[in-house]
Amino acid sequence: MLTLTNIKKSVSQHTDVVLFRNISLQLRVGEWVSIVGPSGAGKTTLLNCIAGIQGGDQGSIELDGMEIHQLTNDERSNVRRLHIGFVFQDFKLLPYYSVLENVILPLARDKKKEQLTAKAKSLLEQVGIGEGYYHRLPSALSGGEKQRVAIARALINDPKLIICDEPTGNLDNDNKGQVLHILHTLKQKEHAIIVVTHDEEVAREGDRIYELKNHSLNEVGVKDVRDKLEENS
Amino acid sequence: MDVSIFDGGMTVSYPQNYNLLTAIDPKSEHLLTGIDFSELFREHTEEEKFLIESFSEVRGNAPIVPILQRESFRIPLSLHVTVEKLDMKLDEIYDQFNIPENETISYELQFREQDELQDFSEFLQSVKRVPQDSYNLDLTNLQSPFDGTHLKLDEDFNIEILKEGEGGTLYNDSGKYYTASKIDYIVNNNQISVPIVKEGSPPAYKRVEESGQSYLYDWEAPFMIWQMGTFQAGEEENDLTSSPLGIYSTKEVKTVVDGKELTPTITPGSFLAAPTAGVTTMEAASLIKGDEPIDAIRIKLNHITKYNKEAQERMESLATELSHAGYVVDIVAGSSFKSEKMNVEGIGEVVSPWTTLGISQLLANAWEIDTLLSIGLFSLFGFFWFFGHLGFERNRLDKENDILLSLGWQQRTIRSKNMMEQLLLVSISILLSLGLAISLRLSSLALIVLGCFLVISIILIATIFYSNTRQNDRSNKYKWLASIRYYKNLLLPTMLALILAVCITHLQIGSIYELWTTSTETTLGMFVFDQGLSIRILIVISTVMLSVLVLLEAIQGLIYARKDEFHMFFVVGWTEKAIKSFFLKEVLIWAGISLVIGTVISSVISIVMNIALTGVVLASVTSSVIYLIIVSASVIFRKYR
Repeated sequence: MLTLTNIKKSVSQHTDVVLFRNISLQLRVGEWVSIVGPSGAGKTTLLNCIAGIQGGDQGSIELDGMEIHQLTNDERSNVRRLHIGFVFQDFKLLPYYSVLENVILPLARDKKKEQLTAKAKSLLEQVGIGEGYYHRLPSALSGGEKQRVAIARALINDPKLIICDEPTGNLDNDNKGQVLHILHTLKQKEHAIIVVTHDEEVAREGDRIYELKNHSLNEVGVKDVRDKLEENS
Repeated sequence: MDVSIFDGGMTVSYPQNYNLLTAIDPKSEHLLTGIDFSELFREHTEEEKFLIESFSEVRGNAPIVPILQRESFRIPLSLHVTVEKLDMKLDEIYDQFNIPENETISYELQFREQDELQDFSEFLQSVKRVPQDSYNLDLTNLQSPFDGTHLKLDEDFNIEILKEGEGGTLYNDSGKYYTASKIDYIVNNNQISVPIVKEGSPPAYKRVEESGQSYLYDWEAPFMIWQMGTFQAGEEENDLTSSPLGIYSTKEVKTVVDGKELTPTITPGSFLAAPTAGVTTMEAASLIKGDEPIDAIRIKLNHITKYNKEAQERMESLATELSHAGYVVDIVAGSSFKSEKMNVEGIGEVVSPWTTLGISQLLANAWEIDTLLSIGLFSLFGFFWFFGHLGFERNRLDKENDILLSLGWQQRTIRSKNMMEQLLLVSISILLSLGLAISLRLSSLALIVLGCFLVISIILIATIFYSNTRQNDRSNKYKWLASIRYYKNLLLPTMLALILAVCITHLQIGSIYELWTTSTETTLGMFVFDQGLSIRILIVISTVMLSVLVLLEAIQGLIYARKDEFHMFFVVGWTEKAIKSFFLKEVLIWAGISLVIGTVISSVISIVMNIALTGVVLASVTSSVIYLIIVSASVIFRKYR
């Protein structure tokens, strides 16, 4: 479903300092891949390249048959809006919109509000956000609640691929557990998931675990994750 | 018309005509109008000396009145000639009136008694006449004021102008003159009426006294005019030579009903303001009018550089003094012509030039009001801009302050640091302004203003940086205008600055329109308005440019404050166009609210200032469109990624 072939990315267009090179990865439907690595290794940049937010210097990224970097800016935006869901460490909810409005935001300009609202309510129910929260502002929610709303927002477009950047970084253990449970459920529903994390427990949930270090991406065994994370910390 | 037959020829005198002669002080008049009148004092040529001597001998040594004739000044005049043949033979006259065969009829008739001449005239009237032909001769361009031009019609009725001195005894004959009273204008409810004072064809609207005598009837005429040359008055439009006293104006008068142009009549009782057809000296005027030749004295007060209260008081003081001394005083400072409707008895409603007291005081007052309003609004505009600017600065520093706080800095120290940074910037600005004020030698008022600005800046900076950010404790979202109300603390100063910018621009445009419509009623007004127009336009452009800078900074600040938000839109798949459209809608709402408020406020002020409704509408539309374009452009031509 997602194929990365020999991706190379420099720190900027004007320098030769390489962030990573020869990155190749395959992700199938219903598969969860965790990526770990030291800070500054380029994990978030790699996610941005996959989503077409940033362009790679070399190589190809193919999502469901589409060569991402051959598309125009607007076409890449369309791909993200229609095929990819995002979950961020800091939730990135609009502070002046209600929970429901935040969830429907990605498709707010594509579909009718009533249609989206019904779907948003269903998604919020799936992630454990009750009706009493629908019209609240994000500032009135806890961290865990915010992240669950963010996951519901990531699912509004029935994405083939869910990209999570430190999804549990700002959460306590209880909330982390809830988020992991939701992600597992999504995996079972045939969503492909890429998670960048520093958290061993989260990383271990992946079908495969990769480490981005010294400019390259290498698969590591489940048993080695703790050592790798300790090395990086 | 006088007709006589002499030596087989026939002479026809022009009808009596009237031209205004004005005595002037040539030097002062030259300074005022720029017209060269020096020819009035030129030496006579040898040929002129001979002619003057010859005429003086037979005219009782009448004194000379030198005249400068106005160029291209003509009163319409035509001559209709019907030629008829008398159905008789000359022998019949010779026989009937016993005229010797070797004499001409005209010669012989000189020696006949009056009753015989009467018989001769009746005889001619009784003879059958056979119409032969008729001629219409336009003499308009062949005669000029005060000029005894003699014309000769040959047998084919072609006109020939006789040379100087060939006109016989009537050469330079203008010994008859008239003095006319002022018109008795009746002003009632702003309607001006002009009554007839003497019926006739045409009727007279002035009381006219005839004096002097023509050489046609009396060789002992009081004076003899002499053409010294010509002068040319400037164009009437936008030219000060048509004012004051209006002696050079040739503005046309038209009837209201059919727009028919009325021309001055050849009699002196016309209601039309007669422009001068020639000028002479004060000395010459005393020959005509006796010991009291002066009708009006034009007084120019020195050292008046603008129409202010001081100038007004000086003029009023002098006018009162002269009035107490028995003079009739008209203040014509800043006077100029405007077109005025008036009801003329026997003719109907006409549009005529009318001398007004001018609009200079109006312009000066408008300037003062405009300046005061502009200074006030600009100050408020600057205040709100600075308020908004500090808000954006504080917002920009939030992240940096969080880092310092996490590193163990005390909140008080961080605030002091922020405040000192802003004060440093303000101090640099004030020092630069101070240097500029000193180099431009501005008054101490400028220094006081700078001091006030420093104090206000310190208060504002302290208010912004020492106040706690009020946390939004709402749990539910606003139903309407959620994003605008959420960012209201950032938007409010910008909205207030925009409201004031609209007000300043609106009032300036409205004021220009009003002054344009008022000042173009008069020639001097238009002149003065033209002089000040560029400065006014400069103020409008400066206002718009300042507003552009403020709006650009405000919108830049808003985008900066919400850059994470825009990035999130991009990440979740919104296209650049969609993000722009979303933000533009939001900006157009708060900018639109500001435009409406600004337009309403300035329209109310404009109406209070008696600006015409058309001006208010024009200013509203123009200022709204200008700022709508600026706001839209500042959102559209920007990157959001």
